[in-house]
Amino acid sequence: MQELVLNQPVSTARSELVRELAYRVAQGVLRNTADAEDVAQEALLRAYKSFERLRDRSRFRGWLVRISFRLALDRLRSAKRREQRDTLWSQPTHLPPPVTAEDVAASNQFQGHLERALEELPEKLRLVLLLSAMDGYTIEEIAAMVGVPIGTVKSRIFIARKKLAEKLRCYANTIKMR
Amino acid sequence: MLCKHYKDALIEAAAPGVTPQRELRAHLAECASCREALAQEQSLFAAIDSGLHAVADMKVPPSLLPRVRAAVDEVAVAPPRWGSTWFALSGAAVAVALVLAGGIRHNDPRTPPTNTATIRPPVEQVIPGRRTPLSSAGLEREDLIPRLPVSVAGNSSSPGGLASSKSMPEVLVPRDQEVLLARYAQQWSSHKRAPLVAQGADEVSVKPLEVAPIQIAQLDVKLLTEDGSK
Repeated sequence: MQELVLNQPVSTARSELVRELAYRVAQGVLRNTADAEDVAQEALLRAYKSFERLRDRSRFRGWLVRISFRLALDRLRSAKRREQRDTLWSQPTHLPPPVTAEDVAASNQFQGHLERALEELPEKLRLVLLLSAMDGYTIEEIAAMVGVPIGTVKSRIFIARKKLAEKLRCYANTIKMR
Repeated sequence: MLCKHYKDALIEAAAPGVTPQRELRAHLAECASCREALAQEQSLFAAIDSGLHAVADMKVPPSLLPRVRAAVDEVAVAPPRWGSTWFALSGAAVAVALVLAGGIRHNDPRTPPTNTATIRPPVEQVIPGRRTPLSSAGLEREDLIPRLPVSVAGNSSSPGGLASSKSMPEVLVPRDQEVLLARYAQQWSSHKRAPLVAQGADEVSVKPLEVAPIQIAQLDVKLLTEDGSK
């Protein structure tokens, strides 16, 4: 466990994945680098303290995901943090370069709408959708981490995408029915 | 059929990995407007997925690892709460015992305040083989496991420290403390353990024995009563 958190030579790649997991879950909720780093540190520290109870790898990752998500949500609900985050939204420096095949997503404005819509999703849908958006995690792994059946993960991803599409359609200016 | 009837089917078909149903495929084959709508809807989902990846696949800042390491180091250095509590309770108990013992000795009206020869084992010999203090560098988590306080360890280990020395100095004791010292010497020779001063204070009606800062490696007591005080 300690090498997982502290990047011991025993399993460098695995420890990186663990840190990425904690950070990305927090970042997916908070969308603020400093806050996500704080939350990831706290989550990893709690994992370190709970060393004895977290030997099983699949349980450990699920525990880490849940605690990161919960800590991030708690922090998100803070009014002060929300105010700071709103100011950061106007300066999205972390966005990837525009992709020609995805012109709509290239718009920073659309990204802001997407993040707000993501925040309005129910927690269960949001966590599964975030995990599915991360590289390297299969549906089976997500199901193991969240502790629900694979079919539930699939349906949650589908519903979450559909909800996002409903909220963002007006910004994307699509679906013009006759 | 009007295109409105295909609205929901178009939205669902636009999701990644979903194949349009046969009826929708037939309609798309003959309706350019719905084909365009499907393409736009697919573009929307692609934009959503791209935005989600931008949110979820953030690169971990390099400062995270040093921060976590520092936090873990703090946890490792900090002593366990139950350990500090035990240490404090032990220290308090010893302090109370010493205060009570000292109070008994000093409040005894039969004891003259002066003219007492005292014996105190040297500090370095009281704790043989003592390890580095807890506050020193290189502290490990095992070092933080609560141990007996230093004062208690000194009481229990002082005979061994004294016995290990080679010099055998004589000790002059006032006449009114001879009985107590004799009992001390008797217990010393029989049990090889130092009796607690406070235990005998109530039983004997003599002045309690105090220990002076004399460098004594090994205690060899000779009773004055045998030499001629009779």
